[in-house]
Order: sequence, then C-alpha cells, then structure tokens
Amino acid sequence: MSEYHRLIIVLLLTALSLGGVPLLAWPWQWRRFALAGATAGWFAILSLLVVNGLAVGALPFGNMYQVMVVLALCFVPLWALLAWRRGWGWMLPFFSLAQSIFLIGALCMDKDLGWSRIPALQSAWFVPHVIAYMLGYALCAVAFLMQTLAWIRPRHPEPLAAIPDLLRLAFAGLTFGMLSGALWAEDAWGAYWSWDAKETWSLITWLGYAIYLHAVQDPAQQRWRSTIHVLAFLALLTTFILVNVLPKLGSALHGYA
Amino acid sequence: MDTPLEQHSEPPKRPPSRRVLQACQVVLAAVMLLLLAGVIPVPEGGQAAVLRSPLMVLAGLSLVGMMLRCRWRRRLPLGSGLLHGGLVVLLTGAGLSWWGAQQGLASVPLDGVGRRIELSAGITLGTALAARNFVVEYEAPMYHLYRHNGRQDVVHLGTYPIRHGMLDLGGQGQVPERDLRQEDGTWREFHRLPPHLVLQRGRASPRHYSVQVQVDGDDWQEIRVNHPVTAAGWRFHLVNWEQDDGIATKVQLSARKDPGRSLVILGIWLTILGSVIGAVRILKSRP
Repeated sequence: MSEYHRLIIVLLLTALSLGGVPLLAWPWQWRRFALAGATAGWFAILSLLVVNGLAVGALPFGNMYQVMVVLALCFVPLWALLAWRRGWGWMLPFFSLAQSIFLIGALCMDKDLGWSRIPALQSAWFVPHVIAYMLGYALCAVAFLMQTLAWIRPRHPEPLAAIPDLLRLAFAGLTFGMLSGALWAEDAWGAYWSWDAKETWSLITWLGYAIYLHAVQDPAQQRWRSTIHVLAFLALLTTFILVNVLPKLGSALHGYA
Repeated sequence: MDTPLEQHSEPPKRPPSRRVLQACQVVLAAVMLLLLAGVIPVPEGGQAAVLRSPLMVLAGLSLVGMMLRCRWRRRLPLGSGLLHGGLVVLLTGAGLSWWGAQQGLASVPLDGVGRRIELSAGITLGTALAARNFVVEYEAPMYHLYRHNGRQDVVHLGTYPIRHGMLDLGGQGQVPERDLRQEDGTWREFHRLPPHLVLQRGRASPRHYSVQVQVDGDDWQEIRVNHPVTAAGWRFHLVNWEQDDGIATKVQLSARKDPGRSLVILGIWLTILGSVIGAVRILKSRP
C-alpha cells in the first residue's frame, strides 16, 4: 500500500466519523456539536479531494471512487444553502446519513489513482457537467432517505412535505447535467446523443423525476407519488452505479469506474 | 401539462387539467419504457431499432403537442415556461435533424493535397478536403509487473502508471522514470527488477492529437477533439487516425450537415435557463 493510499484511508475514516456526528447529536438537540462535526467532516472530505488531485496530477474525477468523494463533498454546502434560504436546518441528519453512505461506498471502491485526462475529457464542459450531476444526485439521495423515513415513521409529516421542493432543485441539476453533456458531445463527436447506456439511463432517470414532479400537482395521485419517487431513484442508482459496475450494461463513452 | 419546477411559488392562473397532466405522464412513461427496451443489451445490437423507431418519434410529437397546448391554455411562471418552451424548440430541432441531417466518416490522406472524398455512408461531400501536419502526444505508458518463478510460472502482480516522474509499485517499491527510458528517450519494452520481477510496457493513451485541414481551398484550420471546424455548411470533427509502421498516414474526420443544429442548441439553452430560474425561485421562497 502506497503512502497516498494510507493517507486516503485515514482521511476517509476521519470524514466518516466526524461527518456522522450529526446522526447522533441532532436527536439529542446537541446542535452545535452536530454542526461542528459536520463542518470538520466536510474539511476532511475536502482534504481527501486535494490528496486525490495531487495523486492523480489532474482533476480527480476519473473513476467511481474519485467521483464518490466529489459527491460526498456536495452534502454539507447544500444543507447550509437550504438551511439559510429555506429554514431547513432540521435536514442535517439526512444530509449526514447520505454523505456517510457515499463515503462508505468510496471506502469500498478500488482506489485507483491512475487516470489520464483523454482528449475528449479536455473540455470546459467537464467540470460543470460533473458538478451539476453530483449536486442533483446528492439532493435526490437525501429526498429518498426522507421518503424512507416517511414510510417508517408516518407521523412525521415535515420530511414528506419537503420532498417535492428538494426534487425540483435536484431536477435543475439533472437537467443541466444532461443537456450540458449533450452540448459537450456535439463538440467532441459531432452528435448530441449516441444512445450510449449511460446517456439512455440518465434520460430514463430524468423522465422518472419529471413524471414525479407532474404527479405532485395532482392530489388524486398522492398514493402513487412515493412509488414513482422510488422508481426514479432506482433508475438514478442504475445510471450512477450499475451502468459502470455491470459489464453487460457497459457504457462506451463514459468508461470510468 | 404542469409546472414542475415552481408551481409552489407562483400559482398558475388556471388549475392544472388532470386529464392533460395524466396524458403527459402516460407519454413520458411510454418514452421511458421504450428507452428501457432500447437499453437492454441484446447480441445483435438491436437497440437503435427501438430508440430510433417511429414510436419514439410519435411520442416526441405527442410531447411537443401537449407542451404547446399547456403553454397556450395556461400562463406558466417564467422558469417553467422557458423550460417547456425550450423542450419544444429542442424536440423540433431534433426532429429536423432526424429528417434531414447527413453524417459520415471521411478518411483523408495526410499529404496536404485537396481531393473530393466520399463519406462512409455513401454521401458525397461536394467540396475538396485536404489534411496535413498531424501531431500526436502520448501520456507516459502504464507498466505491467510480473513475477517469474520459473519458465512456466509467471504471475501478473498489477498494472501501474508513472506519476510525478516515478513508477510507484505499491509494496514492491518505486522505479524512477529515467530508468524506464532508453538513451533515445523512448520507453523500454522490459525492465528487470531483483528478485524475479519484470516490468513490461503497457498501453499509452494519447494526451493530445490535432491536424490541419483545408476545406474547398480556404485557409488551413487546426482541428482537434472538442474543437471542430465548420466550413462549407459541414462540421468536421477529428475522430481517429490510421498509421503504417508507426507513421500516421490518414486521419478520420466525422463530417455532419445538420439543419436542426441551431434549434437544438437554442432549445438546450432555453431549457437550462428555465430550470436554473426555477431553482433560484425555489431558493428565494420560504416554505
């Protein structure tokens, strides 16, 4: 194991421990403790991103491990924005749980640091495309956790009521990510859309959330909303993880992981 | 159809019609099912048949019709209006492309001589095309590490990249980049390490490649990946190159003439703008 790999494991475990503090502290009303843990955990993830960048010698967006670290980095800033703008500070444990899940995912992934930025990836669209998707995925993951809690503890209506607005924000990220990818593909290969597995699944995911956001407007569809939401999230998991992990679904144009 | 992004902040003048909402959801679900059918791996590669089928075109037309009806009958908030309007423009452009776009591959010799070339799809380009000054730069190669325990017993221990001037073999030590280069600067095919370890050179990915092209006798222009060239109504993209004994002899260019391109780009930007405005409005409003 190289020095980089040892440092990465230490930082991942630190980020997991500190970032998980809100899960324990928030229910006991130790808000400052929870906030301090979340902030320290976020700085640990930021350090991890810097270490990945130094090890790779480029932007560390090259494989599933590196992308999961970028995704984990999105949760605390998103929570801070929503707490400030919408008064949703109570969502911190959900953001903390989602962040921990992706950090555990990063811990389990092959931490390959060998990645060269092939010519097709040398584009101004690369960073905004990835970041928009990561922001969208982060919000979708939190909304799914809130949906799960609503099933387990139906007497807490607050999370259920917040899900549509969370998903409207996530939908903007998914839309920007998908369409910026189309513009980028047109520059790189001369075609907006190639029916690549990753592209097709990302469109399926987008359509799933579009159906959900239309269902929200129809009171008669209240009982179906959660089912549509879960199906859309399953499509998201397929787009983000399964397409890269299962060779049969393999994506030729998005060959990271 | 309704206003998914911001109905909470600016209620529409008319309540959403349940019938239109449900019809829209049915069409969206139908497109999803078609996409699912198309994305299932099949040995003959029949995905394109599903994804480019008349059913898909029909679903696209239905969506455009419903979005237009929705825009006509209800006053949507700015973000939603732009998003739906953008999608209508985008789908219209995509329809035009589907109907009238021409695309094919051109294999152009690197001798700088202009010639009329027929594209791979049997389309005649109609202009003379010349290419010269092809340049390719490679990343440092990966190296495979093997352990020899005898003639028949060779174990592959891993593949490692060179970074920061060093080949880091994890627990097996490090090899400086200079030890892997020959006197003329090229990379060694094999490098022995004591005891019983051998490094073998693996693949090297291209970091950058570019070529100069001339269309119809105009000025020479550089073309590289992500930097296409537009000339004589065609957009040219550098796709690949052919080589003989390590020397590049031809480049492959993708040439595309697309009457729907401007509409697709306009539609994409309107949709992005609409979704961003919708998100900003959500953040500005209190629940």
